Amino acid sequence: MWEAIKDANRAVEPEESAEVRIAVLLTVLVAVVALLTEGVAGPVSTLGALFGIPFGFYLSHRMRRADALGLKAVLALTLVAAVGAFMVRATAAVSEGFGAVQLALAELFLWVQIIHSLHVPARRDLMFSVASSGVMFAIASALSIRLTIAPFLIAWLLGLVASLVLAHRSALRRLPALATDPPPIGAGAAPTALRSFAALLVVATLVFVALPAARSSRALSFPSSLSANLPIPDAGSLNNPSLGEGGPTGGPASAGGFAGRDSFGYFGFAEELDTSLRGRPDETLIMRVRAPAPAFWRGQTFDTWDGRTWTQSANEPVSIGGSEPIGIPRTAGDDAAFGEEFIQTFYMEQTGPNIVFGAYRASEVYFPDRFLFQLPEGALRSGVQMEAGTVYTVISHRPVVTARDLAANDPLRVGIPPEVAAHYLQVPDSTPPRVLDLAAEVTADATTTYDKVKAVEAWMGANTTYTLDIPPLPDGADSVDHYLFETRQGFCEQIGTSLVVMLRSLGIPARLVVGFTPGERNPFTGLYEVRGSDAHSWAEVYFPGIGWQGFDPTAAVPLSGEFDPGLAGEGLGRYFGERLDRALGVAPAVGFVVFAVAVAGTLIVLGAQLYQRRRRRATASWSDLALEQIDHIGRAAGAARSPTATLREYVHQLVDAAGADERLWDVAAVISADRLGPFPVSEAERRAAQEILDEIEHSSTSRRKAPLLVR
Amino acid sequence: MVLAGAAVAFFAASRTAGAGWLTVMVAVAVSLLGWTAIDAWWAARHVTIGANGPADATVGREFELDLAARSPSPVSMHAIDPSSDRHWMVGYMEGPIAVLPLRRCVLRSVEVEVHAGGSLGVFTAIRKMVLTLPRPIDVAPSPIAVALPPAAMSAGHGETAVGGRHSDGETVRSVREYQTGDPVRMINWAVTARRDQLAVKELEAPQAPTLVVVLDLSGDPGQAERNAAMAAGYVQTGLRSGMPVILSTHDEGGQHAGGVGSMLEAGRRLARATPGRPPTPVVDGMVAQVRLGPG
Repeated sequence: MWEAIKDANRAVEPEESAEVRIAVLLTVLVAVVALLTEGVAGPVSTLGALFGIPFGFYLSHRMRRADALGLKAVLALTLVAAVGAFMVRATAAVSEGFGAVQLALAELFLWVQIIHSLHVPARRDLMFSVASSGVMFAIASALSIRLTIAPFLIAWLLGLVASLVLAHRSALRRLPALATDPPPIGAGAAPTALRSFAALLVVATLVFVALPAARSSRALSFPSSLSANLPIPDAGSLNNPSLGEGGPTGGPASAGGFAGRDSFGYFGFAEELDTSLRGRPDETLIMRVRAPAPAFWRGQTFDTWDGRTWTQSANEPVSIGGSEPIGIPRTAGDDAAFGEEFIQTFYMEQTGPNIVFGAYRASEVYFPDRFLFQLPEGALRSGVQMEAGTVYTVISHRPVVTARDLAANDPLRVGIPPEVAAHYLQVPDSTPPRVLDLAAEVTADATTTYDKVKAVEAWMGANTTYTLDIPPLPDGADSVDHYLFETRQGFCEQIGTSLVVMLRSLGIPARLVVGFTPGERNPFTGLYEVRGSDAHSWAEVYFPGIGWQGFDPTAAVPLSGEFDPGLAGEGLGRYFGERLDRALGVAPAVGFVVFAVAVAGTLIVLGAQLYQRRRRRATASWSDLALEQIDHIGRAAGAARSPTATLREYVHQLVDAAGADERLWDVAAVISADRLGPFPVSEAERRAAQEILDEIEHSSTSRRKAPLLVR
Repeated sequence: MVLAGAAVAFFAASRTAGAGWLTVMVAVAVSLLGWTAIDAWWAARHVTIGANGPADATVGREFELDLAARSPSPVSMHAIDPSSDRHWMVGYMEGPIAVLPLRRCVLRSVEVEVHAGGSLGVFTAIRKMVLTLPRPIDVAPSPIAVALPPAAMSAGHGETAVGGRHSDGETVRSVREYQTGDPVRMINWAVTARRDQLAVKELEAPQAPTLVVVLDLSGDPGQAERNAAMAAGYVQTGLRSGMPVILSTHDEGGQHAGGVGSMLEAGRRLARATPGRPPTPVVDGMVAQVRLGPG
């Protein structure tokens, strides 16, 4: 039995190449660091990985020829201990959801890698390490929501290619070489690896472009975490530090905006929305959203309009929750009993309002504080400050609707519930009659509510201009009237408000919503990147049996039943193109820098190639260069070397068929002796042969139009 | 398999968990699969080899085959028929490889198997190449040790003898007039009768018997090859004994009988021998004849 165990664990043929080990080690370390940056490991695991793996590789190299039966036994026991630790941690983390177990699993994998690295004597073991580094990188990829993993991916891919190239050559090195005095098999590995790397990048890009896009249709984890637990003193109130002194609950500090407002702060995330305010949030990244499709990320709604300002008629928040997930009660107009489950995870990048964003209609929220506050109109607020780094997941049940569904569920025909009618048909008496007349005129030919909405949208699209640069609203002026008849210019607040008011004037229940447009989908992370400039307001229209449906003439968000995720690479060109445009548009100097970098990069590549060629000429043997020279002579004579021709055959062909100088035979003899002979060829012989070659080459290349090779 | 499995797993995860970077990893895995397969195939397609060898070889004895090969990436190669060990090469290399012929033949080409892994060696493309030799290699059978049969006077088999032989194995060189003292047994009575005067025979010393090896390779191929090896053995033994050797075979040119002065010559004849009825050579004097054939 003991002998059988010893036999089974006898040392296998070890990998002797230190280069292969170093390449594999670097590949593994890159994957480990990529994983660590995703925060999967504590300090012990981090130190264990960063120091243990290199030490393990060193130890493996030193002990590569040993049976190491004892070491294997210790490693097996350590592995069992690591699995045990994982089980303990996973059991404790079950209550925190799959996400916590996922992190524990990732850490276990890290430990498996550390333990495995202590005994990688053979090439097969090293290749296993490479494969497991790929799995580690995949875990890091699954966890990553940023582009910061891209440099790691490039480095890992480079390491992978280098490892494979060197391992392949090392495997061949065990065989005898065809030539008696072969070059080192590792020679040329670096350019080969770089070429393969470049080819892989090109092919991978093409494959990526053609792959179906990632979708979060089956979420196993519902991340939620707080970067800091800072309770809001007045529980349930609105807190928006990004609005500066004017926030959180107060109105504007001045007509021009809020004093001390952050560049990304949006005045709509307040107790009221004053359409006379100007100034838009900038391009600051506010949050990332993982979602299967684009949607409006709703924040809160307003139901009462006075001609300039929107307010909420009832704003007493109610505490909800106590368990995870937090169930969200329905509010007025939330008719749809069923809908497509739509899971969104929000990763906050800036400290902003304590509004919980989500697609319509949020039914459950995974929030680390376990409690939320809900306004009567449905808006959700957290009881803690929404600091940068906060993560929460919203599960919405979106009514899957198409234009036909909306046309079929007409509130004017089916009827409007009293609680909806009570809040969402209000039009102030001060509204100029021409606004109401225009609404009636524009929708005269529309038969359904949906058609009326689309007719008003179309009129706005044709007769008004979207611009962020509009003049101040004159004192006493009605915002809608001023937009529709005076300036015909406005941005989302003017447009959305006008749509709501015009629809309400037709008896269609509508309200103004503030939140964010979907943002730009990052083709790499698959997440929507929502910026300050994506802060938005739009109209929501009530449809019986469906609920509230968003409409916006200015933002193209498909209906839930009409979205096609497309291919992963869709938008890749747009993504980079927009960035280049933005860069060039913002600062022409950037374009110059890009151009200069491109030129410099090209020059560096060309210089590297030239250097490599010169280096090769410096290190290549005389016979290698002489062979190349003969090939050159042959090509110049129009007699390129046949792929199967040996040197002798080729010289024969050149001399007999192409009429080359017979002295080539002498040169070939010296080359063969130099390459294959038992003794080195003397310098004098080489020199003589080289002189003949140069003479023949000069003769052939200087007579390109005439007979090229002469006897 | 690992790569393909990883690609499928990553794809499934990216399609459900919405992890965009996993889609990138799918692209990496798929491109690695595709590129390495294409690279290996391309490398195998672009390997070129030329071969040359000696004029003669013997079954069961290694000989050196000179190869000159070009390959864009490192590859290994070995000869299949005749067989050799694997060697690696990259770029342009020339050198000998030891090959072992296992059967008697005239080797006009050599089959070589190239294993190309491209740059990365994830996949191995195998290509078999038939290399035509600039001149054929005669692979002679390996001689089997044999004992020569006893010699006997040629029966002539009805053919005309080219010379007479005395009963003691001595050869009659000429006839002259009888001189006193000549033994009576040396009188050539026939010539005496024709000339009407006594004539005696002048004799040469007795010669070694001629070894005649008749090889018929018809019938069972295995037995035929064994016969060829035995024929080589007889020729070798005969030559070592100083006997003139006549080898009778059938080859591509038809029946072929003639003397062989060395094992090299015999080897070439035997290498080229083909199944067919060999001629029966006519030899005067003492002959040790061996017939090797079916049955």
